[in-house]
Amino acid sequence: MRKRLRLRPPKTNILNSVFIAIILVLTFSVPAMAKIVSSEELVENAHLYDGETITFRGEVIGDIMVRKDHAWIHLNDDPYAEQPSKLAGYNTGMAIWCKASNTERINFIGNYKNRGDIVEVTGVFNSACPKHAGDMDIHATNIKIIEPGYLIEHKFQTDKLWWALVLSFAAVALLITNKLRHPK
Amino acid sequence: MIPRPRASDFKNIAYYSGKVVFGVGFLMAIPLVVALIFQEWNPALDFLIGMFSCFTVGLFLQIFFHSKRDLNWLQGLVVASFSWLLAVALGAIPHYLSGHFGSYVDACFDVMSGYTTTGLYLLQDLDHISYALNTWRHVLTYVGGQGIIVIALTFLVRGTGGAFKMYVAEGKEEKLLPNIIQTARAIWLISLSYLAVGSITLGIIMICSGMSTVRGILHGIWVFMGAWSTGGFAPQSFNIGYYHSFLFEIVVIVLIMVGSFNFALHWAIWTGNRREIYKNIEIISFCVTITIALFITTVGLMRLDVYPELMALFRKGFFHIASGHTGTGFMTVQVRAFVSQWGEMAMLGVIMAMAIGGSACSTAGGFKGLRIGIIFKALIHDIKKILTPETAVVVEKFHHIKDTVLSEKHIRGAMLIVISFIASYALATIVGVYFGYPLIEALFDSVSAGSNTGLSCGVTSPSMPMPMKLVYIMVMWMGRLEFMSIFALIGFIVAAVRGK
Repeated sequence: MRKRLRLRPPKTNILNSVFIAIILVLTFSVPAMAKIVSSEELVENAHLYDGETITFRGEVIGDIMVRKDHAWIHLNDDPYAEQPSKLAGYNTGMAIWCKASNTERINFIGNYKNRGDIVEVTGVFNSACPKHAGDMDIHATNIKIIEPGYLIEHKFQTDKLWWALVLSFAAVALLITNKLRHPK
Repeated sequence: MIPRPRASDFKNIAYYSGKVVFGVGFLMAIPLVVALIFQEWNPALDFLIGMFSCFTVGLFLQIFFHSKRDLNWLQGLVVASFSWLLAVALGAIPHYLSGHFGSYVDACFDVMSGYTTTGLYLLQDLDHISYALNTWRHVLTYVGGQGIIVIALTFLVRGTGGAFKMYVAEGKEEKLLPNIIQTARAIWLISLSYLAVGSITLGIIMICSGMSTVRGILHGIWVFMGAWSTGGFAPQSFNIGYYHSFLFEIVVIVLIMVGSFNFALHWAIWTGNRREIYKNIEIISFCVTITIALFITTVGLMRLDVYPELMALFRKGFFHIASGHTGTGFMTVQVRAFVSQWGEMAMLGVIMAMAIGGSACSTAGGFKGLRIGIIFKALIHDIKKILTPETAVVVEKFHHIKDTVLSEKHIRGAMLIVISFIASYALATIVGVYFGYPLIEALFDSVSAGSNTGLSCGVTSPSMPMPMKLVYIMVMWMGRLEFMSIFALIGFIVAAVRGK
């Protein structure tokens, strides 16, 4: 009888199990998805996060390097991703390996002329990725654009133009003086 | 009694320094053209200001300190060290005007790091700099590798006696050809030939690996310049780890190794003497010391099980040992990973590799393989003397382009420079420890700066104390010029103040 009960549990037990399973999944997955980890924290505590599913947020910089059906992107989560105009130290970030199709929505890549899209990725962090010869990376399963990038406006600096003109006149004057004083 | 320098000494030094600074101005035309091509107008103005500042200072020195006399040894040494300082101060103008530096000292730090092919940097927000500034960073390191004096000799200096003294004072001794101007041109011939082949190879790999054509070409040129000059600057903050390409890393390793070889060895191979590569003391020394450093690092990494995969272990370990030993400073791991992942034993292996460095008369820094080889030969010689009868004459030889009998002069010369390097590493480490950095971290970055390597475990940063920045600038400068020129400049200043 007991054996039979174990093999064929009553309907209510099945419902309870499903309910508990949902609770467990939500308990362990939702906070993991919600927790945004910084690159600094990942590098300093790489062994703690190794193999964990994490969420990472940062500015797309450099290039989208498509390799067959996947692609490499690099996200910087440094202060420049939030406030581009002020100096705040080095760039910090993380390499992301994702499906190439996931990068199609990225419009702006950070460089001198653009501020890149701010992107949030969820995926598995690898302190020494076995697939990519020990690289520290995140294998993204989900990518979403949080904030679109934009063109950076570099205002023409007229004061620099004046300095350049003054110095060019000085250089030409000295060149002429040199020719006159020391003819070859 | 120290004789006070005469007016003619000052005139000669100022005149030839003016020529070198004038040459630096011409170099700024390269990033200027890049700025114009990519319509980066403000950086274009930065380089115009920098260029005309160099021309103005260079011409001023040449006009008002005009000299037709050839340089003597002291003047040659002082010109090399003084013109490097001037070239740094003026070369830093476009850096500072870019707005990516916290102070002018930070900009000078990066320019000194470039010229000395170190690769440490204080530039902030590297991933958003202009193509022009990125080009300038790499031109600095490419030119610094060959030597800015070599440039001046190639294009701007006539006569050979004083030219040779300036050439030697910049840390190079080999005469590839009887004439020193021809030697300087031969160095450029070698470097430009590799530039063409290396840049195209790296560019093609990156275009095939998903980069756009324009960026692939630019990255190919930039990374080649950083690799060949064993400089270590890279266009992105992720350094070589940015590219995620095994093939790219292999080509880079080949380039940094070839770049770290003696120009005399290159010339011997170019002119058909291919057997030299198997016999040369520097190559043998390099192979032995790189194996020892790799062994130490691998044991350290295996002990902490950092890379469970054997391929990953070799790829990461060998890349950084090669990068350190050649004095390059390229990285494929995150800066702080040395501390948080690699651990002290692996770091010690890298420190050893960095301290030894590449070959003499190359673009590399550190003790140099030739000196390590000579010191090892001297040790063997002494052991042989102990083991043989007192009346026996023990002769030890070493092969470097030709067979040479080891003499006291060789040993003394090698020991003097090695001791000076150790002193500079120690000085920078002590300063780092004083400012609160852990010993291993302070040692790592200090050796990196002193040996002109450029690997960092996170000590070097824009927020590091100002005295440390100044000490690092000094040890980079001393390491690149191999001390003698700096000692000469100090002696010259002391003589000017206290001499009679």
